[in-house]
Amino acid sequence: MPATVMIVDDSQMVRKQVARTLVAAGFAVIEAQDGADALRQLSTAAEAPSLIVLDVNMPNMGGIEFLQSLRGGGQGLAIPPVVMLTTEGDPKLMQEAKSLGAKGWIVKPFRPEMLLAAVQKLTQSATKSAT
Amino acid sequence: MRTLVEQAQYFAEIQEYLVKGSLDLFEGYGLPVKHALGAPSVDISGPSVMAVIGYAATTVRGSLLLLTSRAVVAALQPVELRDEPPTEGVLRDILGEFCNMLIGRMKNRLVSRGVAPLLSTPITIFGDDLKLPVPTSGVSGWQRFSSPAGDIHVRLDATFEVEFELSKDEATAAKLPSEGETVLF
Repeated sequence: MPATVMIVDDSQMVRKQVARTLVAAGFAVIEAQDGADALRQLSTAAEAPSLIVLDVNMPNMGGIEFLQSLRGGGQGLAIPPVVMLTTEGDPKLMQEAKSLGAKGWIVKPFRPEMLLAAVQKLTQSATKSAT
Repeated sequence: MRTLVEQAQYFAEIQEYLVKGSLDLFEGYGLPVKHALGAPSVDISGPSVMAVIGYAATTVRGSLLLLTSRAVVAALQPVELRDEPPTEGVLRDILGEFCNMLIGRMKNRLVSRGVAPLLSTPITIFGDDLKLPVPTSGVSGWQRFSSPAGDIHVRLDATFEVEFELSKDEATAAKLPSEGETVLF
C-alpha cells in the first residue's frame, strides 16, 4: 500500500505540481486548500497521512496556525511529519515552524527532485520510528 | 529621521530586487522576458487578470500588483499541467501564485536587510480592459516585462515611515535558504 501525503496549499497550481511529482514516485496524495480544510479532513480520516506538505500563507488558516492546532490535538490521530513548502525564507518563521514540530522547509518554486528526496527521507524516518 | 531622498533610494533598491526576481521567476517558468520601465498608469485592453498581495512591516507597508492578459497567464502555466484550456479559476490561481512567489523573493531580500514584512494572501481580479488609478499616497513604480506572449506589468506601492531603513550589508543573507532549497531540521 503506497504511503499517503497530504498537500495543503491554497494554490491549485502548486497542489497539482506537487501531486504529479509524488504520484509519479508511487505515493498516494490527498489535497487540502488551507489549514482549516486540512484539519477537517484529518478529523474524519481513518488514519493519518504519512507526511504533510504545508504552505505558510493561506486564507482561513495559515500553516503556522495549522501546526499549532495540530499540536493542540483533537484529531485523535498520530501526528505525521510536516515539511513546509513556501515562498518565505524568514528565519524567524522557520524557527517557529521548527518549534511546532515541522521537520523541513522548502522554498518555492520547488525542484521536483529535491521535494521528492525530502518526502522520501521523512516518510522513511517516520516508518522506522513507528516500528 | 530619513529624508525623502533616502527613502527614494531605498525604494529604488527594493525595485531592483523586484526586477531581478521577476526576470528569474518568469524565465524559470519558461517565459523569458525583457525588462523596461512601465508607464505611471496602465490600461490593458481585452481580457485581463490582476493579482495583488499586501505587505506590512512596522516601518513600511504597501502592495505588489501583477497585471497582464489572459494569454500571458496561460503561457505561465507549467507545461506539465496544460492538459486542457485553463478556466477562469485556473488563470486567477496561476497569477495569484506568481504574485506570491514574486513578493516572497522580495521579502526574503528585505529580511536580509533587516525588514521582515508580513504578507497577505493574493486577491485576484478577472475582467476586460482593467484600469488602475494612480495611488494618492506613498510611492509607486511600474515595471514592464515583455514576452513573446505579451506584456506583464508589475506595480510596487510603498508607504514608508520616517524610521524606515535597510541595513547596509546583507548580513544574514547567507543564512537564508534560496528558491528551491530544502532545509531539513
